[in-house]
Amino acid sequence: MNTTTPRPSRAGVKHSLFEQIRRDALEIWKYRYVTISYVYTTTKIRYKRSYLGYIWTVFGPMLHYIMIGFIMGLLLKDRMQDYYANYFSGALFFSVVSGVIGKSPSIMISNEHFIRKIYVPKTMFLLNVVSYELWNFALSATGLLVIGFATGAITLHATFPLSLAALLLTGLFLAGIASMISVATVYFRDLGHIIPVLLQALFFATPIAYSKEMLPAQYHWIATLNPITYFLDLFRLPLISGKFPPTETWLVAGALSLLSLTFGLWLLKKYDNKIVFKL
Amino acid sequence: MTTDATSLIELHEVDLEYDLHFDRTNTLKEWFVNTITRKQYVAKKKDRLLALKNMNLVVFEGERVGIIGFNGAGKSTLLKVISGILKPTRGTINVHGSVQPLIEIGAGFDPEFSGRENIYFNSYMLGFTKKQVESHIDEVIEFADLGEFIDVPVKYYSSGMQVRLAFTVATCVQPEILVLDEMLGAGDVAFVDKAKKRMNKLVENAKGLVIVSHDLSLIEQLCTRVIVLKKGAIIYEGTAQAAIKEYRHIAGVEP
Repeated sequence: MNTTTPRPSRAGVKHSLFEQIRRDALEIWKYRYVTISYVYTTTKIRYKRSYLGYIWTVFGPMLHYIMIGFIMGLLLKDRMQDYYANYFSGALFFSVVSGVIGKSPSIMISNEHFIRKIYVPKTMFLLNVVSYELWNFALSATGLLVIGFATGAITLHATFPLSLAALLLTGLFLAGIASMISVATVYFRDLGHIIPVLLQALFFATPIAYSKEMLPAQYHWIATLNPITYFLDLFRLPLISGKFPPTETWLVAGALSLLSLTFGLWLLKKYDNKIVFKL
Repeated sequence: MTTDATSLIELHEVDLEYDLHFDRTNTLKEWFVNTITRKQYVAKKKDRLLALKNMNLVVFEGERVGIIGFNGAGKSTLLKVISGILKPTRGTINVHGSVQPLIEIGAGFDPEFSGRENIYFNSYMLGFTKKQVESHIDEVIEFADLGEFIDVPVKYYSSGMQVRLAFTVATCVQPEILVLDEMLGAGDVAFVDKAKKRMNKLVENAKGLVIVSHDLSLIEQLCTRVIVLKKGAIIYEGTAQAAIKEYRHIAGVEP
């Protein structure tokens, strides 16, 4: 089996930015099976371990959300409409955020053996984590949506596909953030302890268990500064209320994604050759 | 840079420099405290280390190049540069053909994945497509000879079985350019014999070989050209016999 495509000449040669991006994209495409296999096998193993299999993926989050939704719904009933639908969709959305960011400190560290021994683009490790979390989300969300539609808790709106677009945009944003954290953790190992705490704070800073209107006016800046709010709006508005999200929200989220991804990948590129010596 | 039709690897004035960290600060907390209190526990935090200095090397088709030298001379670093794991700080490297470093990839096994899943995942990591992996998977599984264990998570394998799987995965591809960091050894008596034959076949079928080894008799028997490295630079280059003689002379060990 000697049919490998010859690896192009490396290093030294400086390519134009466009050419570099084209080469990197082609390389990711070449290694695409890494991600497919990772997501497929990890999912398979997860279901193999329990008899209920897939049902857990839906039940786990559902029980959790019902519990919190019930209590919060009782407390806030008069002040927030569709509490369940809003909380469920928000919490589910946040599970992608916390999934990707929560795993990001270990992205480079847990793949040390590969980084040391073979050549594989480090972006693949990022892509594995982001894809796995999005795929997981798809599995849980499908189940919850079916239950939601069946019980009439949510109605299907024509704007539904916009939520999916919003989710992909969120994926790009998160990939950038995860890239920065994964590189930083190689140098500052305690980020692995700090990130979970920050995630908890981020959850409460995002209008999931409450609505923006409930916040006292002097705290509105929190929701304005929190990037996740914009992505959540893009995801939740078309899904729950069938509204087209405001253009400025799309623009802000788009700019944030572009910024995060550009900086994240630039950082990864800059430290590409240094990480292995600090691992 | 001139490209010879028959050259497989061309290194042109390659430098590889890296940071050697003396500073053990690797938490944000320590960094923060040390920055504020301006405490520095080591004289210098890091040093630039030149692992390869101005390396020029061309490997032609049909050549078997051996690399020998003391520990820390940069032998493995050179292999890593050729395999693309490390990129040169300065200079250029051109590689014509597929390169596969045969280093114990087995350490990359996911203990939760079965043997079969690990073969797939590791092959994809080496850049193979699904089609390519599927064309050799049967042969690989047969060679590993793990029986029904092939579908059992690797964490339940005995260490011997893990070695077998690792060897098989590492050798399941026939690269055009073979890069070896010591010969791979493996498993029980029966398997060692099989493994040896497989290694020899890989070496024979490769267009070129670059090997690092401390086993001088192996180098002498295998290589058409041998390079002696010292502190990141080539200090001698010649036939296996002459290079080994030179190496022994430097080391102060007369045969």
